[in-house]
Amino acid sequence: MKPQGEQVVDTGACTIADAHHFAHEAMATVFELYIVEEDERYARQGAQAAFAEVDRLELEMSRFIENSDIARLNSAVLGEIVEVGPDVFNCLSRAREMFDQTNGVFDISIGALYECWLNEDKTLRSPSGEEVAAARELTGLGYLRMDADSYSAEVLTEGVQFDLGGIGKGFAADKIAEILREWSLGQALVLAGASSVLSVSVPDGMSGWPIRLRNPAKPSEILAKFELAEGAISGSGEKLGQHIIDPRNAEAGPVTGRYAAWSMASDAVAADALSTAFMVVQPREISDYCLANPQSAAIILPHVVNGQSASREVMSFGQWQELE
Amino acid sequence: MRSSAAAGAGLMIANNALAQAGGKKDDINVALLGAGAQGQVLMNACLKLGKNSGIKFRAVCDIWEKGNQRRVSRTLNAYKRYGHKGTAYVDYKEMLDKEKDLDAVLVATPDFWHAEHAIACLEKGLHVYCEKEMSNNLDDAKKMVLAARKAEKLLQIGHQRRSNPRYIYCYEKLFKEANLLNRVTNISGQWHRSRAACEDLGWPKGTDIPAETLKKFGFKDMPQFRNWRWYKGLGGGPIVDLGSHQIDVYSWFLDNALPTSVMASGGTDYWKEHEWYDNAIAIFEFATKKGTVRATYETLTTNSSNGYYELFMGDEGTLLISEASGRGELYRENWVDEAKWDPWTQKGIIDMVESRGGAKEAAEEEEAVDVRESPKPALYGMPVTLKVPFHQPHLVNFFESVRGNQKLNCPGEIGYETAVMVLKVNEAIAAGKRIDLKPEDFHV
Repeated sequence: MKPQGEQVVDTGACTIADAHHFAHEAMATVFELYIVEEDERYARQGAQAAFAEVDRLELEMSRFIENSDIARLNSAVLGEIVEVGPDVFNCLSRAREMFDQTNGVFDISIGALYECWLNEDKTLRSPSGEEVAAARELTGLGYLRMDADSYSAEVLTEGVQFDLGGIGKGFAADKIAEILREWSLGQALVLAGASSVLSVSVPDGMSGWPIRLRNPAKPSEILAKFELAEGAISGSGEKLGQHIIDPRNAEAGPVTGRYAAWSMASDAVAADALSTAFMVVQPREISDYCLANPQSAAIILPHVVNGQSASREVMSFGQWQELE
Repeated sequence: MRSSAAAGAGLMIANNALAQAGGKKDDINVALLGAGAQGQVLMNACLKLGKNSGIKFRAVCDIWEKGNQRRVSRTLNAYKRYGHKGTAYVDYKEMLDKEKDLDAVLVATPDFWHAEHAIACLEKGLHVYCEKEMSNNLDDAKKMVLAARKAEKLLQIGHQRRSNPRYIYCYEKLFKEANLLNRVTNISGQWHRSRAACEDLGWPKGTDIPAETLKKFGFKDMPQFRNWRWYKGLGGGPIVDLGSHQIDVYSWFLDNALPTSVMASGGTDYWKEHEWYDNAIAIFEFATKKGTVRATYETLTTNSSNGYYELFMGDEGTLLISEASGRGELYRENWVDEAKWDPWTQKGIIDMVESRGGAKEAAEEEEAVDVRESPKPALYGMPVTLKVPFHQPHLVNFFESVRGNQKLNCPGEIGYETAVMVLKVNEAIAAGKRIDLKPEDFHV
């Protein structure tokens, strides 16, 4: 349930004259690559191989494709073992890992709660206590049993709906990085839509990829500016009035989350999951997470009115505390 | 928690169902011959049949050791707890000599290798699932059919739509049972891809196949190996790679009628380094019991507009069907009374999506007829989805036929008919003239 929205991460990589740029539409977004390599044709073929892999992953991971592994999991009957294959299995495992790391805030099974609390047009509903309880019964990664020996999964409560939308693009970005390394095209930056950036590695002669984080309410205002050497950054932005559910406190209903949250982590899956979670958790929890995970960082932005400066409201954590 | 108790009950039911079905199925030991993109699709579809499927991979053969072979071998070895094994070979002869316990081989090598590979397997007494196109030439395709007959082994050709439940539903229910389109007079279809999707494939540095190996297996160099589909003597171009699937459906939905002629236009208009046509348009004339059907087909490599689909047009309705997820629509011609299709909606054969044409609605709302555009025909859907990976039903049909439980949906004879249809398109383009076809041209 990663909110789609304005561009919240601005890489500025297009200013790097030597980088070839390639783009490909998949997973309801545009993947972009910046690759530093002498041979343009070779870079293009490497990009093409990486994009082909993303297309293949989408066929397995999209809940909207009726014979995808996730669609099959979502329509499984009780007792049915669903063979999902190594890639979807790994993605589900990462989802579980991030579920654990965020104390259950990042939850790929949260769809039922959103359906319960929000209308299709995203306005608030007033569900009955029974409806909330029923949705609760269909929420939680505890309802997913996974078997690593066979790359299969089993849903323990019929009707639980899994949605890899929150980390699918990050998973694809990490896969792209793997393929570019195989092609010796490591001097590359991967963008999954406007909200996730992954440095495969930094080009020779550069200290990092130039990154700017902008105030979505006032794009001229740069909240942070730094160089990304390794790892990934993800931003979650919210449309005004959008509601977010903290699955730990679902009975309280949706809350108005933050205006935006950014996270840095060692890979794109973790960054994606964290920025989603950081939209809703307490600052203290973010601080604790960044202390426990030294490679991570976060910036959160409470609600600001369009055009208003956000600099005073911004809170930074982890490595980004050092930023101006 | 109710979930865990219920899950336990579910497992018991599943086990009972399995026991009733005869317990553990007969194992079928399989090798993958040709481990490129298509071979991997087939392998993954098989692996997702699960540990009770009885399908056991024993080996993989591919000449690209540092590419396809390594990738597939790793995957198969990762599934070793399921009884799969990824013993890797470069030379298929060595694999067929050393792997003594094979029952079947999945052939997904380049088209020009199909005949030699399929025939060698059949002569070893193995059943063969061979990717389409059966061959890049009809003489070899014919030899494959004959070899299967002589060996009395199964030869399934990979026109996987023949086993797709959505396509089977269209043919069995919408055409044969309900005859919703009434007399089909025209068919059109396309598979258009963007320029970006048609760029030549490369390979990672340091993974080249040794020059002598390439030469031994019929490739000039690595670029030709990676892009064999574009070269004469190796592949057949997009009309064969893509059109073959869809032209096969044209014939199938016309009760396996065969064309009496083909005209075509095409060329290497855009991709000047290639040998096969990057832009091909064909017109077939089919003689059916109900009368003549004219069918067009086109495939582009420069523009992806509208993707891929097949469109069947009858005097009472239209069917648009595509292998792509969720793409299947039926339109009733406006002059046909809704009541005529009602029995089929009531039976649940079709679902009504939009009941009336736009003109009638507009007339009621605005008390005027909108004359600017044709009214929209009523739209119907069908209640069938493909719930398993692409290609899996066709593979299952093959395995179940090996076990004697089913009949092949696309035996070599059918594959041959389709090969004639599509290879004649390339012949018609080269000759620059219409080619007339006789029934015996399709016969083996």
